[in-house]
Amino acid sequence: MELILQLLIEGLLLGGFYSFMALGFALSWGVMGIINLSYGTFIVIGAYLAYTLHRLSGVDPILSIPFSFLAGVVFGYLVQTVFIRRIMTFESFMVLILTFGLDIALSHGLNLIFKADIRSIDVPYAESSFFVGPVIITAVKLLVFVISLVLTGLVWFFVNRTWTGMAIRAVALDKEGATLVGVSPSYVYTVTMALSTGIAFSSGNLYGVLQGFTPFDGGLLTVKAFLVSILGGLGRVESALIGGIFLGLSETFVGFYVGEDWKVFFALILMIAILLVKPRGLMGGKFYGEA
Amino acid sequence: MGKLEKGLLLIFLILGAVPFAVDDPYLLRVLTSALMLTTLALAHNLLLGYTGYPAFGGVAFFGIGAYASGVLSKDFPFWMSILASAVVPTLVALLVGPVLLRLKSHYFAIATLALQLSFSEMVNNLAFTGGSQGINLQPPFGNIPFYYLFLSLAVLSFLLNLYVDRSVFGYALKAIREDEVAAESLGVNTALFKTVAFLMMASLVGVCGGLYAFWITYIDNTSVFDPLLSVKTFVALLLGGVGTTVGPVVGAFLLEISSEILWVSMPEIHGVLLGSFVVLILLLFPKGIIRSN
Repeated sequence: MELILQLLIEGLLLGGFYSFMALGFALSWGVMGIINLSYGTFIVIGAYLAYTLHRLSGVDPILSIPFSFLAGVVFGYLVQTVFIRRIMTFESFMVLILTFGLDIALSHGLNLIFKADIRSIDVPYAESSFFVGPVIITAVKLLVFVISLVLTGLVWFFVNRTWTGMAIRAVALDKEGATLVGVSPSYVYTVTMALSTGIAFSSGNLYGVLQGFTPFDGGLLTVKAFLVSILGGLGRVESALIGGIFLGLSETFVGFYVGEDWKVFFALILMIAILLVKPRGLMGGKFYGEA
Repeated sequence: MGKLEKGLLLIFLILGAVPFAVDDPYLLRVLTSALMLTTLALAHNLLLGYTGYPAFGGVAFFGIGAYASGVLSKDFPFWMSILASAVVPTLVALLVGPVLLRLKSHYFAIATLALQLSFSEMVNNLAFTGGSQGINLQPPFGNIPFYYLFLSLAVLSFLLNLYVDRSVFGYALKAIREDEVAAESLGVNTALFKTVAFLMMASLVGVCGGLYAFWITYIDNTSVFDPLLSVKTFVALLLGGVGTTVGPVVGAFLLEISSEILWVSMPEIHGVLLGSFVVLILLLFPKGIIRSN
């Protein structure tokens, strides 16, 4: 019983991180119809940014989240205006290939600068943990969980309560309709891509705190972002939360009971099963705009 | 046949003479890889180009084919193993096809990708597939016969694409691509036709995997279920021109050879250059190099 409780908590804490991590991926997919294959590498770039700042000036990776976010926003803006906007109007899979090209270039670029060794950010609180009843809670995991929830809340507020957020949902729901009432899709796409990349970079800080990383971690992270988006559905910010916690729990339990080697397999089978039963994910809703 | 298609058949003929003209194992290896990618791109073209279903994880059948012949190669002769690399993927496709083909566009792409990754995890954890150790194979002959086998497979895939491009069967597939509901209402058995296209792709990709296993002589889950291979296939296909007969061939050769040249001339920054090259080509040819009329 205590064991199950421990696993539940572990899965939940991990799931919180997955939810926030996948939010940017689900956003660009739901609003712009773009599957961003370089998303995982964007996260890794965030981790290296936090790592570099920590090495150079000792800034805590949690405190440098706003910096990573801003860097991500600028980067996303550039990616959108220089590359994606030019080919968005053509065959939709072209953008997918473009982001793949970007992924190879960026991950190998990181490899040139930082080499392929595993890096980790040594924070002073990395080792501390405490008991809550019979359950051991690692301070880092709890910290990452809380911050992920706060940031997810901020994104929810932005998408649901600000004018720009509503414009994003409007374009996602009906591009022509939004244009008619004076919303510029091109502007909305730029904002979405900037926000999405900002989320990726800042979740990189959290990823760097949670575990060691290499320049080529991006692929698996992209797959996980996929999984979360499909499990939850692209409908709302909250659905990423459902998907993330679902993935966190399934990974923790399968990892413990069946074996670490099988956890990705089970997550994938789960995803195919959910796709077949509910092609739009557990929470349904095709676009961010559908209430 | 159009001019481009006749030209391509001529190029295939010239490629058939290459081993007689030049004795260069390196060149032969590069051309063999390019022919393999050509087959993969043409096979995916049947499904994405003509039927409109992007099997992003179609490389799953490459791995299944490779493992089918890898497992059988211990007890059975080469030709039996290769036969199995066509039959087993087709059977798997027959099982999963009708279910997966209910999904559309991005969702179909991701479900097939999940299929590929889950097979990769599975063979990595099962005993009879060698687990993470992979499988070693005994090549039955040298590089030149492999070159001809891959060349024949590429030509076969090309002829199949030509057939689909011109036949009534192909028209039905194109109708599904344009509007599935309308096609159905006009009497096209969409479920059947989609599945047949899916099976065609699976068997071609499967044989490709089986040949690859014998050619490289060692397979493990990361090499034959590699998502990078899926992506390379799609880059080749979209770069060359999806839904055309000649495009996938052009894309595959362009990608494989430019990747090789970059690799040889600048190994340190090869990855960065290759990525940038893909991005640049896309910005220059957003509709693909060869366009359908």
